[in-house]
Amino acid sequence: MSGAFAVASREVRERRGVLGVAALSGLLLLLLRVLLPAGRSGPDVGLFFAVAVVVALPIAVGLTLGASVIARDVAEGRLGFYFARPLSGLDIWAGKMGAAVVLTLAATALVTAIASPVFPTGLPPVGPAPGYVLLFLIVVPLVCVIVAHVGAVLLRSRSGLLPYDLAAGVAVLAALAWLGRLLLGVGTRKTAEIAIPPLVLGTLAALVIAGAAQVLAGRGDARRGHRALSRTLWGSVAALLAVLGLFVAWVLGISPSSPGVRPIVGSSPDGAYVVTYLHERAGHEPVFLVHGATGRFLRLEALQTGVRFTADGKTAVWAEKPPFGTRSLVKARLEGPEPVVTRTELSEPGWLWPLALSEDGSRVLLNNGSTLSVRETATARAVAQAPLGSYVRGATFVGAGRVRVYRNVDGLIVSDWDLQSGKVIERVHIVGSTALYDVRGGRMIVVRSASSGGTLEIYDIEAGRLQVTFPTGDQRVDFARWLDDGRVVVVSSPRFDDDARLRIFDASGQEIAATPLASPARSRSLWRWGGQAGDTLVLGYHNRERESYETVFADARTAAVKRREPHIMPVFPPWWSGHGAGETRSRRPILYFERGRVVTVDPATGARTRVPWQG
Amino acid sequence: MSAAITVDPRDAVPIWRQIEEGMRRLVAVGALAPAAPVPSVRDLARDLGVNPMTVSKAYQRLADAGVLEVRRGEGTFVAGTPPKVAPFERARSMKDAAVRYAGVAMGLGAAEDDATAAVKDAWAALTKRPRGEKR
Amino acid sequence: MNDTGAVLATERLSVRYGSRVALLDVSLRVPPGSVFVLLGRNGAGKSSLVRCALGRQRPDSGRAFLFGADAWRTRAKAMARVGVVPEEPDAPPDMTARELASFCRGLYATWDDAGVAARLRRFDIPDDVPFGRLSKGQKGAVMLALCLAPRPELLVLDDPTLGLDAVARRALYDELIGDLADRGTTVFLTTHDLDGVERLATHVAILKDARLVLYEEMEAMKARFRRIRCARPAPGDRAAWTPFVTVAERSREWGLEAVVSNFEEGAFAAFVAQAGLRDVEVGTLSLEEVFVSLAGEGGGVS
Repeated sequence: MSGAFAVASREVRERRGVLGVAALSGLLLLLLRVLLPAGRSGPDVGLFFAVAVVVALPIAVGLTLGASVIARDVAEGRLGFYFARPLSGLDIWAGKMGAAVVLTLAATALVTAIASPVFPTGLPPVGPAPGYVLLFLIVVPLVCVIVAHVGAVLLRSRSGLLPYDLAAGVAVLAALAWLGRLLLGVGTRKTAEIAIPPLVLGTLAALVIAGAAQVLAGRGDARRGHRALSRTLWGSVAALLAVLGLFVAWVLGISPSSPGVRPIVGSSPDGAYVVTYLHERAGHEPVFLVHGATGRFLRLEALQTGVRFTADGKTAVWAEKPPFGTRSLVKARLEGPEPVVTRTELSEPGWLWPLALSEDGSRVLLNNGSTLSVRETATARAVAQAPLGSYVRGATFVGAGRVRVYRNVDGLIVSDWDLQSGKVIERVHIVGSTALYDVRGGRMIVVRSASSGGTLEIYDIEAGRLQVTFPTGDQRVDFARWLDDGRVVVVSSPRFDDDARLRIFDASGQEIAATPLASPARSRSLWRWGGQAGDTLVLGYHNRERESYETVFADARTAAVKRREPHIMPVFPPWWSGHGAGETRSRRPILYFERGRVVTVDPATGARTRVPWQG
Repeated sequence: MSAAITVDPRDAVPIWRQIEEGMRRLVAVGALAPAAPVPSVRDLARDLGVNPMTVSKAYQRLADAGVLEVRRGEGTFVAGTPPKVAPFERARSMKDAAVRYAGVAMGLGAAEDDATAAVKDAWAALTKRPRGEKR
Repeated sequence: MNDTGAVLATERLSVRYGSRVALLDVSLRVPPGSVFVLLGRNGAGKSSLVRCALGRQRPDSGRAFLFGADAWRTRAKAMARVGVVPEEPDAPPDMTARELASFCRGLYATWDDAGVAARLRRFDIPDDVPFGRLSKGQKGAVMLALCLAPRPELLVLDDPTLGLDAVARRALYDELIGDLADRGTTVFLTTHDLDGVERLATHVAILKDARLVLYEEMEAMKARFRRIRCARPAPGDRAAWTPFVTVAERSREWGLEAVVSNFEEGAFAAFVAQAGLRDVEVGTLSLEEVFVSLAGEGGGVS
C-alpha cells in the first residue's frame, strides 16, 4: 500500500494550511480566555466559545476536506493523473480519504490541545460522560468526512442522476419511518435501540463502500463514478433495509408458539383463556390472550398493566398506552374463540393500573399510585374516587357497590370502600411488618415477622378479628394458601438453611401433616404454590441462577410426596394478579413450564403433553 | 550534410527507400567521401523527422549492399572501397525506375523526345554539387 | 485472447453512451516497436477507445488488452510499463516539477532521474514553479518528461501537439524520436497533426462514425492509395473506374478526379490503355488527404 501512502502524503502536504487554521483557532481561544476571564457570576463566555469552536471546527474541517479531497479532483478531471500511474483505485481512494481523515483528526487534536487550558478538566465539557468527547471530537467529524465526500460526488458530477438519488433518499427515509413506527408501535423502545446501532454502522459502511466504488469503478470519470456510487449506496442501503425489514417481521412475528423465556402465565378463572407473558424477541414483549382450546390468540401490545378477568371468565379488562396513541381502557368479551374487543379512550394522564373487576365486568378499579378510581368498563366514565392508591397490595370488589383494599401502610390495613356513599371503613389493622399470603371467603392468611420470630395468622376480615395463630418461629415462609376444604398448606424453611418443609394445618391451627422437601440447588430460592388438582398438591421450585426447576406432587391429605418431576415447574399467575374472588380456583388447569414451552402434566404418571396453542 | 537527403512522405517510394537512394546518390557523386562518417541513426532520424526504425532499415540495406560499414563502438561510415553493384541488379533497378517514369510521361501525353530530354536535364541537375535543396 | 504479444489490442470493442454509439466492433493490435496512429474526427470514438485501452473505462462489449491482459482488470500493474500523455495536462497544479518527479519516482521500479533533469533543462523549465503556473508548452514538456522517466514500453499520447506552436511541436517530435531511437518504445497516438506524424508512423487506423474504416501498415496504405486525374472522356463514353475501388470521385471543369484505394502499376497501365483516357496523371496522397477522403463527409479530394 505504499502507493496509498504516497498519495496520502501528497494530499496532506497540499492542505497543511488546515493545521495552521486549527492552531490559530486554538490560540484565539486562549486569547479570549485571557480577555474574558471566568467571572464568578454570569455565563462564562470564554468557555462557551471555546466549546463551540472546539466542536465546530472539526466538523467544518471534516466537511470541507471530505467534499474536496476526491470530488473536486474528479470534477476538474485531475484524477486521470493518478490513473495513468501504477496506482490501484484502492490506493488512490484510500490515500486521499486517509489524508482527509488524518488532517481532520490532527486539526481536532491541535485545536483541543492548544485550547485545553480553557477547560476545567482539560477536555471540553460536551456531555455527561467521557464518551461524549470521543463522539463529538472524533466520530462526528469522521462521519462528516465520509458524508461530505458522498454528497459532493452526488452534487458535483452533474450527471443527471441527482434527482434519482434524492428520490431514493426520500424513499429510504419513508421506509425507515414506516419500519420505525411499526417497531415503536409495539410499545417497546428496547427493540428500536437494538436495531439502531447496526443500522447506523451499516449505513456508514455503505457510505464508505459507495465512496470507494466511485473511485474504483468510475476511474476518474465524474458521471460513471456517480453512477457507481449511487448503485452501490442505494443497493447496500436497500439490503440494510431488507435486513431491517426481516428483523421487524421476525420481531412482530412472535406468537404463543414461540419459545418463551419466562415461566409466567395467567388464565381466566374458567381456564378457557390463557394470558401469556412468556415471550420476548429483541426486547419486544407482547402479551398474548390465547384461547386455550383452539390456540387462536390476540396480541396485546403496549400493555400498561396485567389483564383482569371477571369470576365467570367471560370478561377481561386491561389498559393500553401505545407510544403514538392515547391511553385506552380495553374490554374484551370472551364468549368463544374470538374475543370481541372494545376500546375506550382514557383521557386521564399518568399511569393507571386496573386492580380488580366487578363480578359482572361492568366496573373496573384503577389505581394511579395515589388515588383509586372506579370506572364503568363500557364507557370509561368515572364512578367514584378515593385517596387510597398508595402501597396497595391488592383489591377486590365485594358485590358491585363495595371495594375491599389491602394496603401495606403501617403494617397491613384492610379497608372497605362504599362506592355509593364514598365512606371508607377500616376492617383490619395489623401493626408491624406483615405479609399478606392469601385471601379466600373473607378470611385472610398473613405472616407477621418480628425480631423474635414470626407468626402465621388467620383473620376474619368482615368481623375484623384474629382467629388463629401458628408460630413460625425462625422460619421463612415461602407460601401459605387456603386449600379447598378450609385447611391451610404452608411451605417454610429455616432462615439460614435450604431444606424446606411442606406442612398442612387445619382451620384451628393444628399442624396435621408435614414432609421435608429437599431443595435441588443449594442456594436461596423459593418454593411456590402451583395449585390443587383434586387430591394432589402441586408445588414448584425455581432457581434462576442455576436454571433449575422442579415440581413436587404431594398427597393433599398426608402431605407425602408422591412424585418429583425435574425440569418443569407450574406456571404462576403474575404477582399483580393479587387476590380477587375466584383467583385461586382449582378448577383451572395447571400448566407447567418446561424449557421454554408450556405443557400439562399428569400428576400420576408424570406424562407431559404440549398444550395445543404452544405449537 | 543531412540536409542533402530529403524525404517526401507523399512519395510513392517508401521513406526507407528514399533514404537509401539518397545515401547512394551522395556516395555516387562523391558528396560523401569513402571512409567518411555518416550521421547516427538517431541524429538522422531527428533531422529528417522520421522513425528511427526507418533509418535503421535503410542503413541495414546499405550495409548489406556494401555501401556503408558499421564499426562496432565507433559508428557507421562510408565504405572504404566502393561496392560492386552486380550488373544484373543495376539493370533491374534501372528498368523499374524507367518503366515507372515512362508510365508517368505517357499518361501525361508526353512524346518520347520530351521524356528523354527531361531525363537528361535531371541527370545534369543531380551531378552538380548539391547545396541544401529545399522541398 | 492475445497471442503474439501485441502491446495494446482491442477485440470487438463497443462503447455506447445511452443511445449514441461511440465505438462499434473495433478490433486492432499495436505490435511492439510500432508507431501506431489512430485518426478520426472529433466524436469519432478515439477518446473512448483510448480510455478503454488504458483500463479507465469498461467497454459495453468486447475487450481491451494491455500487454496481453485485460486492460480494466490489470490497469494498475500495466501502468508501470506505460507512459500516458493526456490531451490536457492534468498534474496537480500545486506541485512543482521537482515534487512531481519525486512523487512519481516512488511509484516505479526504474526511474531515470538524470533524464528528467536533462529534459527540464533542455526545455528551460524551472523545477520549483507550481505546475499550474507553467505555460501550456512547459506543462506538456513536464508531462512528457514524467512519462519517459520510468522507461515505459508503451507510450500513449492523446493529441500531444494540441495547442503547441511549431517550435514546441518540433521539440516534442525530437524528444519522441530520440526515445524511439534509444529504446524502441512502442507508441500509440491520436492526433490532428497529420503532417508531423506522417514520417513517424508505422501503422495507421482511421475511425469514422464509431467504426474502423482503415487499419494497416503505413507503407502498405501509401502504396495503394492514389489520386488519378484525367481529361473528361468524350460525351457518350462512360467513365468507369473499375477495376479500381474509388473512395472519392469528383468532376472538375478540366476533367475527372478520383481517389482509388487499390492502385497497382500494371493494372493501371492496362486500364489507361483500355479506357482510352487522355492526360492521365497519377499522384500520391499525403496521410491527411487519405484521412480526409475516408473520414470526411462524403469524402473530398483537394
